[in-house]
Amino acid sequence: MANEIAHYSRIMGYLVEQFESNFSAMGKHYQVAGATSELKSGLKKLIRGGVINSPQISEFADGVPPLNLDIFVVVINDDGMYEILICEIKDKNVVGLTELSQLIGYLLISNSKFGLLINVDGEVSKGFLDILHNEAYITHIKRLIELDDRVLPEDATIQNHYLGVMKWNSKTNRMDYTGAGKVLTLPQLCRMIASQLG
Amino acid sequence: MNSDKAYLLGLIIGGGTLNRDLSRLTINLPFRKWGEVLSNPTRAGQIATDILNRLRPVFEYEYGISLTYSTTPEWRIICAGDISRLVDDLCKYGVAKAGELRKVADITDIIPYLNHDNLKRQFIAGLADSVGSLAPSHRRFDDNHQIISFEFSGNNYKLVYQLCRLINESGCSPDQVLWNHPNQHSTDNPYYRSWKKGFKLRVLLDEYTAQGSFLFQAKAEAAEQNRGLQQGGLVNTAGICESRRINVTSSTVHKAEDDVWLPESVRGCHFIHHKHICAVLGCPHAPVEQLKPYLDGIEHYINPFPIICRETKAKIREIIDSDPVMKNRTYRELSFAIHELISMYQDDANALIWGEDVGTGYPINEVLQAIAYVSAGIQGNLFGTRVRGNFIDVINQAVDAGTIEQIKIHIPDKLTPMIVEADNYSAMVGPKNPDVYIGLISKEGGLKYKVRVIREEDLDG
Repeated sequence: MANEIAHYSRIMGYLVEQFESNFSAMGKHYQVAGATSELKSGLKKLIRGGVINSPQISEFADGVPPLNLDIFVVVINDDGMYEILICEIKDKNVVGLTELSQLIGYLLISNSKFGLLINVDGEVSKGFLDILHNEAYITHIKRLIELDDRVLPEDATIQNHYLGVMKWNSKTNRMDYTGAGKVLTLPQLCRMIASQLG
Repeated sequence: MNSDKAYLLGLIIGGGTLNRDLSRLTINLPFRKWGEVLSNPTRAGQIATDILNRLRPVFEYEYGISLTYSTTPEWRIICAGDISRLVDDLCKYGVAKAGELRKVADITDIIPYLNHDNLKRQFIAGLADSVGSLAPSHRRFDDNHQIISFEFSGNNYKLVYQLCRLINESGCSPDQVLWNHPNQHSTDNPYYRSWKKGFKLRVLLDEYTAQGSFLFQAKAEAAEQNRGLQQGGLVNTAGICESRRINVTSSTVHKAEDDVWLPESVRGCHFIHHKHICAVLGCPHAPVEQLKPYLDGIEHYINPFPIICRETKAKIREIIDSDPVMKNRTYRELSFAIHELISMYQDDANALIWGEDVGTGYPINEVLQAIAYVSAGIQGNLFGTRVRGNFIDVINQAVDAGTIEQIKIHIPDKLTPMIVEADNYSAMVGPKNPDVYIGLISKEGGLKYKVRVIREEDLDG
């Protein structure tokens, strides 16, 4: 456990830098901020510190339950609309479904669209890679949100969740891609976020 | 543009070769001994893993291209299948040209897209993984200053200039640029024809690893190993180019300064320092103020003759016969006391000897270097034309062995090169004569200087 914590700050800094540069390349001037802490208090701290500023994210921070996350990155557009990336960091020889399930849980609870499972200097089990390649729904979850019991399923809102599985290379201090999952690369992830935020 | 494309563009421009109809791309990785399979199997395995596990997913996602590789005669990444999407991008950025891209590419149209420091760093990382040499022999002065050297063959001055500026803009100050120019690769010998040894853009490894990166783990690990050679946790910084101290020594006016192979921006000019080339190319970071005192007295730092030229006796004779200024001289043999010459050198290493007036004559350092060369030749102590060991020690060994007696010095009747010879070895040393040399120099505008060939009448003035 202690090993992966040592990488949080560097991975978060890396992700923020990749996000900022890729949004810059798209001509998007979003607010991008990251934290290595519990989601609710972490967001409030970023808001108090003036790092991010949006009524919508403030409202979200008030309502979201406390969630002990490894890393989260929040992206906010000029209209205050936001998207949150949740990262689950592991430092294991191999990661698999168990670890992905944990991340899926965080995404569902927080209603965040984007998640990355990141294994530090480790691998992804072959069986898990097969699942990622063959069962697309496992990294692209479409959830029906029925705000009211009387609403029929076909009238419910669909919430998408997009997940990726990557490997942090502590020798190169950059992300290696597994080539599997809905989110394959960081520039792709940035495009997906930008398509949500406009 | 995105961060992965920026990396790939750097890698492709560093090592890519496109065929004539732009349908095939290979990326050569000039790792030479460093990545050789037989001598470095562990590293070679790491390089293969880097290509297949790290690079291939990026290529596959961005351009739908799969990769294979070969390792002989050197590492080569082979882009398999349809590369049209990639070529479309290369066209968009103005770098889709047949041949070795690093020799022909102009990244003018890419730079505006690198509108974030990270995009610049990713682009540079691609070049670092392809042409960034991490041989531990790249160092400044000693092991405590490890270097990454971006190496390019060819005459693409513009690409090296553009890369150097990008490195600067990404927060890293290049330590030195060795331009592929005769004034850089052959400062002593105007007759040396193999001066096209390539460009070397050298960056202190501490600075590079603080700001830049590698995708290849093999490179990242080698960088850390090399940094580990630095003693006591020393962290080096080069300092910004604008305030860099400059030390200029005399350089010969090389026969190839007018070579049409050189781009027009530098052709026909003499350069006294690598920063002088930076300044002429228009780099805003060039330390122009530090260059000015040297350029104002440029006649002290140029020599229309060799500074020193070490050859066989026959070759030196051939050189002399080819130039009327040297051929039409009367040479007299001069007796010399070697201990007096050494003593003179030890008193003042910059002293001049056998001149006509104050400020003229042959530099004692070069005279002794020439004596050491022929001494080492007699003693079988040469490595090519280099003297093995300390040159004063070599001379003293010749004194002890009595072979110093075989050495003859020939002085011309005017201030043209003197000759030192023994057995089949011969060396010529050019004189300093700034009052004459100033008449050979013309200012070509800006910081450009041209030096014409010296003629008989110049020496009669």
